[in-house]
Amino acid sequence: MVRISFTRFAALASVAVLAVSACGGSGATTAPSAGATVVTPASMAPSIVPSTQKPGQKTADGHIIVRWYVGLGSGTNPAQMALQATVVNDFNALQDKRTDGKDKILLSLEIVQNATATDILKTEMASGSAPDLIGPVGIKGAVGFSGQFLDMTPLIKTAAYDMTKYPASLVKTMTDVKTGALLGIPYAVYPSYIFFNKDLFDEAKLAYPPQKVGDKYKMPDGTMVDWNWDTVRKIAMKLSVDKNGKAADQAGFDPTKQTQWGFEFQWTEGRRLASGFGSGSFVAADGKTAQFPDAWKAGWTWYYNGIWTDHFIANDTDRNSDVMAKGNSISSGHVAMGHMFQWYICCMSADPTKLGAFKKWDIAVMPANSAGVTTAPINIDTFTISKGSPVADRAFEAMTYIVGRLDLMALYGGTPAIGDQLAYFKANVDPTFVKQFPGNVVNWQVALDMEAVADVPNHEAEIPNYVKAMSDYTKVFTTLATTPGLNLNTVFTDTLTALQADFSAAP
Amino acid sequence: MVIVEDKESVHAPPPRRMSLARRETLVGLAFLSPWLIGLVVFTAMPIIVSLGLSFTNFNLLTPETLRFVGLDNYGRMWRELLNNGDVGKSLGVTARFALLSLPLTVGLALGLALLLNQKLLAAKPVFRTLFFMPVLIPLVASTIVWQGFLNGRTGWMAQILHAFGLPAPSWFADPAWALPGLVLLGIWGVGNMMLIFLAGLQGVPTELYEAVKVDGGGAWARFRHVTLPMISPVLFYNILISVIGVAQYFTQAYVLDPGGNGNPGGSTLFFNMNLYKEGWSYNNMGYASALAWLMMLVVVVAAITMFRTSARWVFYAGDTK
Repeated sequence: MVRISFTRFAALASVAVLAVSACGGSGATTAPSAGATVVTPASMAPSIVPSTQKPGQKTADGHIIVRWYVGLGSGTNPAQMALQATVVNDFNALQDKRTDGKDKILLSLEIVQNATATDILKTEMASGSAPDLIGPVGIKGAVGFSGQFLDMTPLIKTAAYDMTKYPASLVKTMTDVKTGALLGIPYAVYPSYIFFNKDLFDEAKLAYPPQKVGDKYKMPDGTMVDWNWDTVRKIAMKLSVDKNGKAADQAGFDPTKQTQWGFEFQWTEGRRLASGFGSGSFVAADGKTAQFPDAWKAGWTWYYNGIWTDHFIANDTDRNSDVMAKGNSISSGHVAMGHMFQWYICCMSADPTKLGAFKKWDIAVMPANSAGVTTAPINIDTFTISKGSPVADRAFEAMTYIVGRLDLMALYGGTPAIGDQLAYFKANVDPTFVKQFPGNVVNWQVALDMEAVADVPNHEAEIPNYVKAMSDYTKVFTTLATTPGLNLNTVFTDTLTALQADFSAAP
Repeated sequence: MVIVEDKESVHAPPPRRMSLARRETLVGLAFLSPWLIGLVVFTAMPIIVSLGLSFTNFNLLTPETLRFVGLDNYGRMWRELLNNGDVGKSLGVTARFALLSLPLTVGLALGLALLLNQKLLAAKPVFRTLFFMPVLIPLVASTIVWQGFLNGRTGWMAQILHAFGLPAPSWFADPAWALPGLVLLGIWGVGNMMLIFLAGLQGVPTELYEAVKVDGGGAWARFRHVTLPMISPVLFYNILISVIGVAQYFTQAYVLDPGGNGNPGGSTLFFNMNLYKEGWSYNNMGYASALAWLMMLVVVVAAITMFRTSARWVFYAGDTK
C-alpha cells in the first residue's frame, strides 16, 4: 500500500514539475518565456572583459569600459571575430599610449550569434545593462530597437566630426523618421547587382549581361534588346535546364527533373526583391496608409511566374535541396544569374570538391523595369550607441576608430561610404578572392555604379508597427515560393489588409 | 588536594542536542541546496514573476512604461481565440500535432519495446542502443538533418519513394505535409519512451503469461489481458509526458522557420512559436506571459483529466481499490 502511494505521489510530483515547466520553460524544447534568463555565450566571444560589466564601469587601473556588441549584422564568422579581436587589441594598445589626460578606454568585445543577438540585446536593455556601442547593424536590424539608440548629433558636434564627407542621401537613411534623430553614421554600403556565372553562359553560348546602365543585351539571334526584367526572363529560361538537357523555353522540358536555374534572388525578402523593380514603400506619404506600389506588384508577379510558370527560379523545395546548396544557391554553381548584395561575397564558395563548383563569374547592372528605370536596392550598415550609455562620448570615440579600419570593412563585405571605392575594392576585396577564384576578374565598377541608382526611399526604411508589419508581409511573401496556383490579386489585397491593420494599431 | 568546583558547569542545564533525524535532515538539505536554490531562483521565481507580468503591459524595450492592466492580456487572448487569431490558430496547430503525434509515438515506442522484449530476438543490446541513439542527438542538429532527409527534391525519403514509383511530397515546404514531417521527426526519437516501456515489460511476472497459455489464450490475449494492464502505469506515465512534451513543442518548428511565422503557410505555428513571437519579436512580454499561463492551464487540465480517468484504465498491482 505504501508503495502504491509513493508511486502516485511520484507521478503527481512529476506532473506538477513538468506542468510548471510548461509555463516556466527552461528546457531545451521550450520557448523562452517572460522569465527566462538569457546568458551571453561568453565561450564564443573573444571578450577582453566579461560581458556582464555594468555600463560605465571602470577597471581597477582606471580604464573606462566601453562595451562593443556584435551580432545584429556582420561580424560573427570566425575570420571576422578574429579580426574584431585584433581591432580591439589595437585600439586598447593605442589607449595605453594616450597622453591627453582623459581617462583611457578599455574596449570590450561582446560577440553573439546572429540568430540570438536580437533577443539577447533586448534582454540586456530591459535589465539596464545595455552595451554602449552596437554594430555593425543594418537599417532593418536597428529599426527593431526603435527608440533605444542615441541621437548622435550632439556627439558629432562636440567631437567636430566631419559629416559633410558623407553623401546626404546616405545620412538621411540613418535618420529616425519619427524623431529626426541621427542614429549612426553611414559606415558600410552594400550595393546590389546581378551576379552571373560565366561558365554557364559560355556553355549556353549566350552573351554576358551588360555592365553599364543603359547598355543593350545581345540576344542569341543577334538582335540588341533593352536590359530589362523581361530580357532577364527570356535568357533565364534558356539557362534553366533539366536532367535531359532541355531548356525551360523548349518543348519537353521537365521542371520536376530540373538541374539548373536561370535566376535566383539570393537570400531575399519581400521588399528587398520588389525594390529591384522600382523604389517604393508599403506606407503612403501620410505615414499611415498602406499601399502596394505597382512596381512592387510587378516584382512579386515576376518572381512568382518565374517559379511556377517559367521555371527559371527555384521553388522552396528546390532551393533548400542539395542541388542548390541548401539555399546558398548562387554558390551551388547551378544558378546562372542572381540578384545579390555586396555582403554576399562572404559566402561565395569555389571549393572544387563541392557539388556545383564554378570558376568564372562577374557582375552586371540591375535590369530596368517596364518604365525603363533601373533601381538597385542597397543595404547600409552603421554603428549605434545605446540611449542609456553613460559613456556615450567615449563609445563614439571608439566608434570613429573602428569605422576607420578598412580591413575590417572588407571582411564584413562592405564598401566604404566615402573615399576612393574602386581603389578599396582592388586593395581589400580582390585579394580575398585570389585563392577562391584564381584568374577571375570582377568588374567592381558595376557595384559602384549601382550606388548611383540606389532605391530611394530605401526598401528597409521604417514603416509603422515595423516588426509586426514586416512579419505579416513576410508571411505572405514566403507562400510565393511554396504554393502554386495562387491568385496574386488576392495575395496583394490580403497583404494590404494585414498591413493596414498593423499600421492602424501602431503605437 | 583541593577540589575546585566549577559551579557554572555543575548548575548549567545540559546543552540541547539535536536529534539525529533533525541533523540528517539539515545535512540532506545542505547537500540539496545547490539544486533547491537553482529551483527557487531560476524556475519558481520566474514562474511567479511571469504570473505577475501577465497582468501588466510589460514591454521589453520600454520597461519604464510598465503598468498594471488587469485582465486585458487575458481578454485579448480570448478575443484572438474566438476570432481565429494567432492564439486560435496556434492552439489548432498544436492540437492537430498532438492528435497525429501522440498515438503514433506511443504506439511505435510500445511496439519496439515489445519486439525488444522477445526471447527469440538476437543482439538485443545492439537494437536497444540503435533505437535509443537518436535521443542523444541535439534537437537542432537532428532537425537540420531531417530537413535534408525530407527535402522533396534530393532528400533520401524522396529517393526512396521515387524508387517505388511514388511521388515525394515537399514536406517542410508544403502546408499539408509540414506537420506529418515533424511527426516523423518525433517518431525518430522514441527511444527514451521505448526504454521505459521495456523496463515495464520486463517487470511483468511470467507466470501470468503461463496462466493465459493454460487457459488457451493466444498472443493477442496475452497482450490484451496481461501485458497491457500490467504496464498501464508505464503507459499512463508515457502518455502524460508526451502530452506535456507536445505542449512545450518549439525547437524543431523554430529551426524550420526562425522567422517565427510558422511557415509554410502558418502550418507550423505552434502555440509556443506564437508565444515566442509575441514576447521576443513584438516585445509584448506581458501578453506573452499570459499566453504561457494559458498553456499552463491547458496542461494542468489535461493532467487532471488523465488522473481522474486513470482509475478506469490504469492498474496498479496490489491496489485494493
